[in-house]
Amino acid sequence: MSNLFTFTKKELYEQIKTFKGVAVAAVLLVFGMTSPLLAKLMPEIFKSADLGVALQIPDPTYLDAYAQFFKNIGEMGLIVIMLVYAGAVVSETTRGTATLMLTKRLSHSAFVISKFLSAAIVWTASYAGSAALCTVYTIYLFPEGKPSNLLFSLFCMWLFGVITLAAALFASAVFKSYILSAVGTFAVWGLLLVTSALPKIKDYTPAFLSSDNLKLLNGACPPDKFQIPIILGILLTALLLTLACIIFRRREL
Amino acid sequence: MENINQYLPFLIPVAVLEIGLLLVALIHLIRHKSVRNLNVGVWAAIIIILEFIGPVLYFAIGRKDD
Amino acid sequence: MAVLEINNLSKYYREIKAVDELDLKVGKGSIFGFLGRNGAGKTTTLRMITGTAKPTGGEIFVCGDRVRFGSCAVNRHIGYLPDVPEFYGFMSPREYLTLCGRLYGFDKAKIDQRCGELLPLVGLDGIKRHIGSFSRGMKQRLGIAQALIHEPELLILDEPTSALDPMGRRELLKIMASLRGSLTVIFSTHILSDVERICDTIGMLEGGRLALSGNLEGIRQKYAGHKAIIEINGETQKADEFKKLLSEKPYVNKIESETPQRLVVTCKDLKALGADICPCLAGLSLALARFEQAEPQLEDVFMEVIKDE
Repeated sequence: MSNLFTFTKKELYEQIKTFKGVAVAAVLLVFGMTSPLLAKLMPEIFKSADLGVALQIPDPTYLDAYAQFFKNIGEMGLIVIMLVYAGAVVSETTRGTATLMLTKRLSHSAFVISKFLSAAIVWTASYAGSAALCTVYTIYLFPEGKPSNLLFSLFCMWLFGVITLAAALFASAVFKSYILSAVGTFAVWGLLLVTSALPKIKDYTPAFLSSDNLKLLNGACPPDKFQIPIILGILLTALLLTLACIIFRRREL
Repeated sequence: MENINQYLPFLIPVAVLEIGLLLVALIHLIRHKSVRNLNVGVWAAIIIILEFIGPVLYFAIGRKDD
Repeated sequence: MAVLEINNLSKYYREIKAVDELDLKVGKGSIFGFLGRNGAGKTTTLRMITGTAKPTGGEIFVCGDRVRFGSCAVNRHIGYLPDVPEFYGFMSPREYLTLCGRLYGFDKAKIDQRCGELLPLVGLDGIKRHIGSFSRGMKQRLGIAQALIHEPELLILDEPTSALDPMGRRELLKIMASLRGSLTVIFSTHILSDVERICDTIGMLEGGRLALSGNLEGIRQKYAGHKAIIEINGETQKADEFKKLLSEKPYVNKIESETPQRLVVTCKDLKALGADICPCLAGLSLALARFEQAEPQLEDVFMEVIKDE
């Protein structure tokens, strides 16, 4: 346990020192600010573009702000997260820095889990900051109307990010090069997204957390419907991490 | 576009973060002059052209771990 | 009790037998030189001892505890320095040692104490630069410090001197020699002079098996008594005749001569050779300048063992 703490601390220190965590935080914070702005300015941009056709654009609302936010975080934000953390384990095994750690009293599992924890901490802190900025901007730019279930909706996207992190950690513990690991991470993520398009399972897959969480805000979808996706998402995270630990322990360094 | 001015207080922090990240990445690249994938010139282009995502990609996969 | 005991250890990479039914024991307190040419299986063996490579068969015991692949339990006995150690480049040496100490559960006072002992030992005291800017020699020395942080019973060094310049090698050997008596050291190398300088026991790996092992003095003696150096004063023509006379003796195996006046004789019976030299020389009216039993160099032993295989 104390080794888990020690190594998580080292990981956080490394993410700051190498700017990886700083870059992740910067991306998310910028998305938090630009999303409501973009929603607000979109009609103006269309107007000034002057497409020759008289476009009827309804006035944007707070819903458009959060739609932008979830779209940006759920696509570009998670892609950045995956690119950064697909290298978590594999960068140490290819360079050889893992050898000296694992030939001490640090277990393979603690090594993998520490990396997941530190990534999750960076994700959580940056996402919280980003969501807070987005909320403040939205309240200021769209004073009329109030979203319902805002925190719960934000939580769903957060959990989907955690699942994505687990996928990245899994791939990076299993594959022997960064490229393979990144491809593997995107494959797991892509599979998840595909499930949200399949009619029979789309209401139960963890991908539901990012595809439909917006509907919580205007009450188009009741919070109850998220129970199963949340449970399955937590199980999937645990499964990916367990597999990562088991496979990593059997790998020669 | 005159009413863009009213959003200036919102845009400034965004610009600061973006330009800050861009500068940090460029300075790091120039000081180290070596990268893991591709080459220094290509990375400089990525950092500048893909503003914002470029610097992040650089720190994620381009920079050499000393 | 043996600090390291290896029984019947094998490691196959598909058809290639990197290590083949190896048996090895290393006693407490010795500095053990693990010899063998490149690709003989030294690194593979050491990696199996540290639990980073999976044996195809056999068992390894360190201080009586069985090594299990993928488990770090036995590592408390072992300090390990791989052939090319890689550190976290963004840390200072002290930060790195602190991390290592923490992984062994040391508190701040203990870590400070160990850093205070080890950093001066390896000559990195007061260096605050990041490890990323270190030379190979500095990394190798830091490698020794991190391997010693928890006062292990067994120190395993894989080719610690191979990549270093002569200065770096000398410094590292000095550090290693200073450890004599406090713990058991195993170090692999193909540089024989390093072994001759500091080892007391050696094992020579060839084709994945132990071709030779034991006390360095004993091995020297075993391989001594086969070679003599003879130097004579006289004309070249007569010296050649003398060489011919000697080569006809039944106990002489081989005569090498760099110059006609200097012969290196390999033979079965050194006493008989000594008795026969003077009559031969007298017959040719040559004078003996030097007759000496040659001290066997480890290199000769090495070549002989490899030839026998």
